[in-house]
Amino acid sequence: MKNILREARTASGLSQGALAERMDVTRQTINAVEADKYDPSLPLAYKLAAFFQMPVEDLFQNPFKS
Amino acid sequence: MQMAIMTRRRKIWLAAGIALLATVAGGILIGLMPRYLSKGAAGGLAAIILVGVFLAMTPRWRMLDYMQRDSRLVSWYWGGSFGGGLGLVLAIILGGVRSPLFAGAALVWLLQCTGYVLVRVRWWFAHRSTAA
Repeated sequence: MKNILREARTASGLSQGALAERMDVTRQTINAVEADKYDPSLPLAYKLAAFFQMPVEDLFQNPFKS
Repeated sequence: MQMAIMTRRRKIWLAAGIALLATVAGGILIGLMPRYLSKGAAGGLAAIILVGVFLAMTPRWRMLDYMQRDSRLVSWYWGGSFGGGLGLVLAIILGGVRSPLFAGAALVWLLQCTGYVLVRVRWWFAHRSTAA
């Protein structure tokens, strides 16, 4: 799922490891989500959106919307 | 923050190390038991070790995030199933279908499949809802 997680994270000055710790996931998970290699679970997507204070669909592009 | 990351990572590795050591120690103990214990006592001790290892692994499983769990489930489903099936094939090649080797391998395979079905049924019941 395409996303702007990497941009949001770097804008916040956080490393992947630091964000992972705050989200209670591994750094590999953050890396895979950023690289569009793995879709986040719904709770993680909402948690990330809440953390960056933006709607989920701003952070993750809805692939089913044209 | 860096310290916290190291601590969490260390906990995961520590839990894995303890589980591995417990499994190896259990295996050695089970290997030595027939010399000193009856079959019933040896089986009981082996069952206690089995339950202990699973209980020891529970905190680690709960620490895993969704992706980590998914990676393990996929690996066990495909890798574990294929590895088990390959074990049966090798048992046939090495000992034939009437050998104790094949009987042991088949028993493990059968119990593994039974456990899979039981857990899957339980999972299904735990996640179903009444139709709206």
